[in-house]
Amino acid sequence: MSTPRAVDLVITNQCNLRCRYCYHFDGAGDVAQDLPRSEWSRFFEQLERHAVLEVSLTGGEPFARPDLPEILQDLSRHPLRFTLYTNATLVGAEEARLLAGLRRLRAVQVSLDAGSADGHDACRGAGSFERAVRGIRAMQECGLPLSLQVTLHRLNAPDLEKTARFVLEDLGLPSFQINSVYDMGTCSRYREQICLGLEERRAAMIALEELERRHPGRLRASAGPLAQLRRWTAMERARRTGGIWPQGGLLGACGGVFRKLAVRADGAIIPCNQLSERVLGWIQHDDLREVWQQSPELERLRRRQETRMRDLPGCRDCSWAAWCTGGCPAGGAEGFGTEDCLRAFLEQGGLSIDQLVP
Amino acid sequence: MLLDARPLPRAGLVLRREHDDWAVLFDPDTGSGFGLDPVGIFLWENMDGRRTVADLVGALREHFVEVPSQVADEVQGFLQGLQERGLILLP
Repeated sequence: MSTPRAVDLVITNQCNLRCRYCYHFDGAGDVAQDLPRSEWSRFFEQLERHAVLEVSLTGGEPFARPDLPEILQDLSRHPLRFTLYTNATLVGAEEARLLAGLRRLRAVQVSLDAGSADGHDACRGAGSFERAVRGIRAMQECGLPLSLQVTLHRLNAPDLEKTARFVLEDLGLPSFQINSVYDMGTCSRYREQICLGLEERRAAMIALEELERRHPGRLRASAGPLAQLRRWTAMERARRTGGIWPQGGLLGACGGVFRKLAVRADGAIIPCNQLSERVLGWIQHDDLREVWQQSPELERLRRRQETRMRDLPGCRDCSWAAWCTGGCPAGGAEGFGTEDCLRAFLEQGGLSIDQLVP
Repeated sequence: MLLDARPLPRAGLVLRREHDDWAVLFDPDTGSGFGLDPVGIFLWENMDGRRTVADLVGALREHFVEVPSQVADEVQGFLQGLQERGLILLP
């Protein structure tokens, strides 16, 4: 791929909330100043020149930026599609109409952590559930393509069933995505109160498996307990049958560096928002294609997938080494013993192998 | 499609080349994509609303080696597919 197919933009470092599980604030992406609109506008021209097809706008909270409407209009003039990530608490009828008028808006992804104020506001602050739901309803009235993200933590995990019912039945959304908190940034300060422990992860997997059974095809996951359960179940099935696993046995868990990049609110080009300390260049003076093709750090991340799991000290004698692909690069160099490690999860008593695949 | 037709790429589409010599023709208004092989890319880049289909077939014969005898039919079929997807215009 000669240029990234997708780019994630932290369009602002401002946010009207201070969620206790935020991975962004208190991390390297928490920068002092936002780029001005003119700088973003110049970068959008680069995106077009390099045939980037998909962009996501995140923050902070994009709507906390007063000139967001103008930035969205600037972006809409370029031949690409974009997704806006928002907490929806600043979205009213006017903002929803603005979004509905953008023909290249692919989706609006809203963070909603529970089906009631108790679970949602526990980390996001009092009143945020009510405002988020009002924003969601405003966007639904305008017929916007909505996608919903539920982030699991210790305080909302017990409410999974109620959350699913609210999202799928009360809000009437076709599906939702579910992940769990990253132990990064602000979240690390509240680790003990927020991050899922072994027992909570086990309980969440059992609950999510049941929800999947009752709502087939309506739960999506790329990280967190559900994604792990799916991946580990498939790995164990492959181990039992000697089946082949795509890229199995190689440290290639994250394919992001082969298709996308991210940009911090100050213009730093980074591999992804979870690796915001690894600055590859600056959109103010670097060419995106050159960074994509020549950054030594990106090359190093891409070459992870040449490492055989069996060559990693912690994984040498692992029964799943031929199927495992390691963990997220942001969670450690290898993934052994981390939340992404199946063997560690089983050895610690998370689930038994027979519970994983009866 | 007749050999004297003069196809024109629809404005606003993005041709994104990938490392393996293929490309994606992307419609930013719908999000749909259409894969092009090297011959398809060559035709896409040579369509300008002035060259006829016959001109394109001739150019293709000059540019590539071992071009099959039925290439005119294949080019017409390919262009027909693009037209049906709304990716080219016949002014």
